[in-house]
Amino acid sequence: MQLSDEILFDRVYVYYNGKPALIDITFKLKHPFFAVVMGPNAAGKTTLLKVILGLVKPSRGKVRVFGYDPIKHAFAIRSLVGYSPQLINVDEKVPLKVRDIVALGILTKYKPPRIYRKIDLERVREVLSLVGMEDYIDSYFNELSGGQRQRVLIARALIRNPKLLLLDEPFSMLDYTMKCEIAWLLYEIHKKFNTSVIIVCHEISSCYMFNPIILLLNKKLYAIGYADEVLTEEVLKKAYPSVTCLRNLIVLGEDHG
Amino acid sequence: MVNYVVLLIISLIIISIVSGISSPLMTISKIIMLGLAFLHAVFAGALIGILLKYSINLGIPTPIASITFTIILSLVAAELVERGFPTDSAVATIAAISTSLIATLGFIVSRISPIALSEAWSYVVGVSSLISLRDLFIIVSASIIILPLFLMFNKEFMFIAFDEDSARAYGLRVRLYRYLLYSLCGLTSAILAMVLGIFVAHIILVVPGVFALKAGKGKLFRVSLAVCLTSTLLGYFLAYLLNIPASGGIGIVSTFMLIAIYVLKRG
Repeated sequence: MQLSDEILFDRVYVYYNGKPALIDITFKLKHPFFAVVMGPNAAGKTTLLKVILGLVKPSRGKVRVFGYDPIKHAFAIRSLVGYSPQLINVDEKVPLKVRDIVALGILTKYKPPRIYRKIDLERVREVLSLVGMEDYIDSYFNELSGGQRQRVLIARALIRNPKLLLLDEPFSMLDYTMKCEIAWLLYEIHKKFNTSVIIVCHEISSCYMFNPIILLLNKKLYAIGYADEVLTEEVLKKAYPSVTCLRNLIVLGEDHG
Repeated sequence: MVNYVVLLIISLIIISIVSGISSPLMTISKIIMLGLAFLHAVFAGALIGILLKYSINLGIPTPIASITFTIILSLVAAELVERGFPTDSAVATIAAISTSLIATLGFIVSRISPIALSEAWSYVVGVSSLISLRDLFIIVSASIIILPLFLMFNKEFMFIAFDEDSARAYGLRVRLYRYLLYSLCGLTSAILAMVLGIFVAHIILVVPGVFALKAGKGKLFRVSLAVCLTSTLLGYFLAYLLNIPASGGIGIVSTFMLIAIYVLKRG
């Protein structure tokens, strides 16, 4: 096995019950990068993240994350990658405190019974202060606003000092100001810690100012490149069948624009 | 008589502690319906045990047959969910297997002998009216397995309930924990049904968890334990006063407690 500094997808196919979720995906991203995966609903964006995490096994093709095979070297991947899920997939009724949620990222390194050590609690405080949530360490997750919850999930993803941060819809259910705040936070983390970031989102406007690498996905990878090159009507039309151009305004269809 | 009362009170305290710990975890993990389906499996397993005992003289104690069958079905349920079936499908499968067996074996057992029928009936209303030392031994043994495991792994169960994908991504062995959780729920259902009967076990399995989640998230297990102990012990004294089976009194108190929390926490 040869370690590398890149994320590599080589002719990757994923099928769910015989239906394709990803078709012939090939790309290479050199660390450290700031990337956004965009595409319409059911385009395979979350599947792409799960393939990187090793939660979904590709039906065909080769995936390497910093040289590791995510399925064979799941343990190594977990120490290199931080993951923040969609808020919609989190059950807020489970009465967990912010500190417990953030600590999950490190407690899973220990064998049961997984008990906090002083150093773990210090690390929890550290990452919470990084995302501006240190005052909420003893709050329950369901007492927080949407933006605060998102910050807590980002803190959890950061707790192991990951080389790669994967964020699934971090801007969903947030107002525009909050989206921009989260986007700034992620960009700062990318710059400050040299962390590679992959964001899955519908709403690109809050990230556009950072000129991220865009992966335009709709089961197939239609384009990959910097935002100012990729976000054109001709390119977008390939992934978004309903794209419309109204005098300097591109309407993507669905609820994304 | 004194012995019987002591045995019953000890059994009620033990099952209250078991249910007080397991009920909130089942509620949080959204498998309460599965827990209720396991109660059907408990009865089906008991009927298998009774049939083996009275028809071919196989000396397996009925509670052991019942517990074994319930745990097998709980593992089937866990595997179904792991293979991507919704929890509702697992509930339907367990209920379908169990109720078909209950309908078939219940008919056969009723024709074997009145003793076999009364033993089967004790699973419907519980053995609270004639609890034996052997029953207590089984309850204590099951609790020694259930309680430490629930207490040791409750953090993992909560993490998985909170966000299963992240739990997997951060390295928790979700499949293993699901098997463990479902088996422990099956075992809990089995000992609850043994003492209280399958009808009242439904209430004791559901009420403490729902009550605790409604009442206060910070004291989940303490509230649930308090609810369980209050329902069972107060229910027992109510039953004594009204001259009805203990399980009936427990059912009445639990139901009133649930209604009370809905009224108090309205809105």
